[in-house]
Amino acid sequence: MKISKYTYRKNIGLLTAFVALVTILFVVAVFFAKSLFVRYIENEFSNRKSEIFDQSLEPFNNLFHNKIPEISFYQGYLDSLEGERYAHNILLSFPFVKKVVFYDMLFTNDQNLQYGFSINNLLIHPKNLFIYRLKNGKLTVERLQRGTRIAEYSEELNNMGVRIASYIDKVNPGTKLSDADIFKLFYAVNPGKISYLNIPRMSDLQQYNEVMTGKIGHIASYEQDMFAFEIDPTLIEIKNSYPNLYQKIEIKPVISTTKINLQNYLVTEVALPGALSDYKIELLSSREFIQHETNQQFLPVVLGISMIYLILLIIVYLIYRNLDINGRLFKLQYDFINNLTHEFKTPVSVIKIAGNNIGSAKKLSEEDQQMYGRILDQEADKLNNLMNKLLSFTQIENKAIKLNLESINLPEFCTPIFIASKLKYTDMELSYDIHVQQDLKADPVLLNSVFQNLIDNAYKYSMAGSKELRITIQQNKRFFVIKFIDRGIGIQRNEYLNIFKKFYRIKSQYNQQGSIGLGLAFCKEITEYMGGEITVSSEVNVGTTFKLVFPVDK
Amino acid sequence: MLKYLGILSLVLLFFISCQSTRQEALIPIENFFSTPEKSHFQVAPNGKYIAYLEKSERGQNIFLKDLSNEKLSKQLTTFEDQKVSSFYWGSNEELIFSIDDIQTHTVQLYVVDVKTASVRNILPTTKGKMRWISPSKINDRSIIVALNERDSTFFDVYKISLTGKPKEMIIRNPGNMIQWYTAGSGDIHLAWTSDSIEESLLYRPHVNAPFKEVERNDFTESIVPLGYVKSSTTLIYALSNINRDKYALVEYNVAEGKEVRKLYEHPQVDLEASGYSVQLQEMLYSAYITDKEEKLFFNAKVEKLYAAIADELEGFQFKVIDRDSALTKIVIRTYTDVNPGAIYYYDVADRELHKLADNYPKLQNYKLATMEPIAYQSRDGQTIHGYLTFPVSGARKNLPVIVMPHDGPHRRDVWGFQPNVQFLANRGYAVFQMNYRGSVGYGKMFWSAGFKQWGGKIQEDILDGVDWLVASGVADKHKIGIFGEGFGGYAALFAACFQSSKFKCAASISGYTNLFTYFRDVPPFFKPYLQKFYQVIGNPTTESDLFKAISPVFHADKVSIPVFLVQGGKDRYNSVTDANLFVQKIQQNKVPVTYLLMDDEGKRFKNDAHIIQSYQELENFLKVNLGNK
Repeated sequence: MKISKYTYRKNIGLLTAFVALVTILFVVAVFFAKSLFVRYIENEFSNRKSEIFDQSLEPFNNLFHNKIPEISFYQGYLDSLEGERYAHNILLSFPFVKKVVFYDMLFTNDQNLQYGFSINNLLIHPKNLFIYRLKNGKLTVERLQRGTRIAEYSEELNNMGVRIASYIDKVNPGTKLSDADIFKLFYAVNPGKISYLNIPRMSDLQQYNEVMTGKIGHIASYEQDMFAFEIDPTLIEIKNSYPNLYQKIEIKPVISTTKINLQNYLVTEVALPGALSDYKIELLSSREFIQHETNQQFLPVVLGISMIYLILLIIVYLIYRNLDINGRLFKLQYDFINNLTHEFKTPVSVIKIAGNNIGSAKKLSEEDQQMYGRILDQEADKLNNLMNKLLSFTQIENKAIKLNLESINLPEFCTPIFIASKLKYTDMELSYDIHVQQDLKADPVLLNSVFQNLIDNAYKYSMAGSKELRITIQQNKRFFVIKFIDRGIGIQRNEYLNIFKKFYRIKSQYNQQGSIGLGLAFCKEITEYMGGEITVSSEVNVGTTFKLVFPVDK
Repeated sequence: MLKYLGILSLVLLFFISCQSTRQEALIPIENFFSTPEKSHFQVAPNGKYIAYLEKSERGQNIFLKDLSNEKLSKQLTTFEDQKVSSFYWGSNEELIFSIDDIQTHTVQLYVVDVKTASVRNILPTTKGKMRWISPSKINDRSIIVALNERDSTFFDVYKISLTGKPKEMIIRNPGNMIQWYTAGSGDIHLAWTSDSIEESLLYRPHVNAPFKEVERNDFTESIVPLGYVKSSTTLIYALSNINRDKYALVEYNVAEGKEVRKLYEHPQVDLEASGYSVQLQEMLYSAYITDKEEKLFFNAKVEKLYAAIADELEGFQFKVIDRDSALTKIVIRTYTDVNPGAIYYYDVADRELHKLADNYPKLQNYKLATMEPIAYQSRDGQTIHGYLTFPVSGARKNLPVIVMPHDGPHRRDVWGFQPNVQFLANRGYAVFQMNYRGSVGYGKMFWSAGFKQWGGKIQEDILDGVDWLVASGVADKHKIGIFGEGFGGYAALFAACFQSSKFKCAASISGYTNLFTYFRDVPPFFKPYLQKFYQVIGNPTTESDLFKAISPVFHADKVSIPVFLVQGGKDRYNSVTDANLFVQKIQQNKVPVTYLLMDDEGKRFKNDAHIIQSYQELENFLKVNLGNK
């Protein structure tokens, strides 16, 4: 066979390059993802602290913005009983409040009271001072009256006195209390301590102004309340909502003397506001902990990337396989054309020789004339057959022919075929056995083709002397089963599927010529086109059985 | 209490005009809430002139109408940035007027000459407030007024010379006097104190003698002097409910501190503190309000005169604002429930009414809603009187209702034109007002039944009214809102906290959010005075539990219906801090709140624009929550 320069090309190099590129990409992607994750986790570590801060400080803010201003609701009318109830409630709900001090005060111009913070005519006089604490869950109340111990609480009073008095001094009928004023005047926030003075009405402040400046001639006393809350920030409950990020969260003094070796730790901190400002939240995790967390988060990403890599490899394999199959197909078709040429060549050369002989013979005997006539006729038939086969096959394959379904009485249909075959293949023993009750619905021309093909095959692939074919046609409730049983050379099991493929021919001595590998493919196409099924079972050197199954039409 | 009522009636009741074609349209909100341009109509003693105040852009001035010759009418004062707050006829030739500056809390007094319009100052800018002492008569070229210059918490009595001499204190208030009464001579013999839980009447036979207490009463009992019996310095007409349930008209001997005789008493309601004529020094009539105001005449001539005026008015009610000494020119204001009315003067000479000004001129051409007196039984068998205003559409069943308890609680609602009620009725709501127990006018039993019942029986009376409305089919029980000002606002907020199942939404203007704060307004230096409030509301120190239980600010977390809150920044009875916290807490529970803070307003809003804005927002709020047009 001549080597064509248009042979099919398989470029393994291209595929290899592709695989290499994908592999490099995979490695780079994994590497970048890893470094990205390390950075991400570190960012998270320093960013999530604000959430922890917000959550942990929620009770404190609630105390500061909601519970403390409630004192003003009482407008100075809190007495020991109600004050105690309020303080108890605070101590129970906010464990970080260690101590509540209640200053039950009078703003008065009654100088006989003597004790208190005094400016001009205004005396801020603590009538009573209560100190509330929780001991083993039980409220203890300490009541201080004038005496030595009250001195330690007077600083608070004096500070407040200075603030409020300098404001009262400036009050005039048009003065308004702004929110900023409220915070400046009535709250005193120091590390560890908040004090709050009940916010009087603006008209009260005007009255105080008159009391202070001595405009009121008689004795006037106004109730005012002040509370001081002592706060221990270390008792604030930390809510670690990111246990995967932070190994340990603590509230520590801003200036901490004990410095542990933090080299192997990642540390971040948040300063606390207002009354907690001498403390900070310190959040730390060991490097291994963070490493572990990074790996934990990184794992699914690596898996994802690997998956993509794997899919790409599979695609490469599929492309390779496809190329391989196409290559084989290409070879088949190439062979086919070779065969076909050969197939056409034989009759053509026979016709040519016959033609030459007729042309060069001076005189043709009648015998010769008959012989050449027969030869020409035979070879023309062969050519015609070949072309018909090719044509009808492409038609069927493209579903271009129309089925002409008819009810076929099988015994009637088969008899002429068998008689003709016996005539054709005189050296083949052909027996048949037909048991059917109903007609088969099929295209008689196409069915005839199938029968012819299978009979031809049986003849072709049997050794001389053992050319035997037995045909059985049976019917059960649902199917017609037609079997062609020969005692030919047989087919190897692994070739069962291939024999129905176009242009496929088993390489064997019986296959040298007169076959283009279309016969069985053709039979299969037609049978399936008519709604049937064709299968094969065979044993090498014993024989082959082709089985046609058609449904019983109901 | 009757004093309040008098002022309230003046503020609320308004006048007539033509019964021309009325529209039933959606009336622009401004038409309801604009204070009149002209006010304070006062007739000269000789009946020749009527003086009145008229607003300009930033000022308010006195104008004079010459009744004999319209062409001679003129403007008497020309203040551009200042407002004449009040005036009265000193004589036929002189008007005395005051200028109060609310910003700086100062007062000035002037005299203006009617003929020349020349103005002269008789009291230079003085710190504090001034009160006229009635009847204010010119005696030896001076007048008597009360000023709180010395101590802002009480007033002293001064003599102000019209000739320019400095003022002279004639009565130094020991701290408890709250009212003085001048006799026909122009001297003060009688003073009224309310130094405590107790009120007393003080008398002195002549100006140099000390005042002596002649009558002392528990604050639940009271005597209200109306004026001296003609040419007497010892006998007065007074309203008294001492030893009786309802205020009755009595003749009273102030020298002995004894009731001489009872002149008239109404079986159901208190008498009003009106009907005494300073000029004639006699009782012309007694007025009382059952469902509407009625009068009993003591003077036949006056009765005929009033009947003649009533004839001219075709069904309108009227109130006499002023009259000259000879009763020839009577200034009246007319009103009905559906008409804000107008101000007229009646001329006895031609027996005709002459219009001076329309009240709410922009409402004259609209159809307004009728106000019907109603009564229902409370759960414990009290009869509660009230008023029901139906929307103009004429629908009477299954209506969206605004329950509107009045401010006070020591006041009452009366029949007549009320701009806010008409506004709501115009927007399609029925408006339900009730004189719950604790309201005045129905005798002291009914009044004192409201003591310490804030959020208690008072609130029950309101709820019983709502149940009655639903049972009678008037109210659509899914469309009931509660709205009020002052105490009414308190009742609304209380309902929002504790009775949210009955109401769809609650609205308050200057409502009391915190009774501790409310209580702070009781001057603490009048220690005994507190006793009254202890009885009426409770004691914030010993009963702090009660105060907590009935103060809405402590229960903001229980509010589950939408709340509307308008608060003045200078409201003495409420603090902005309370209101802010209250609103914050409601918002934390995701309950819708509409909150308006008017920085420069007190409890009662002065600026029309602020009133209109508040009601505009209220309209939107009600529209959203009651789903009305």
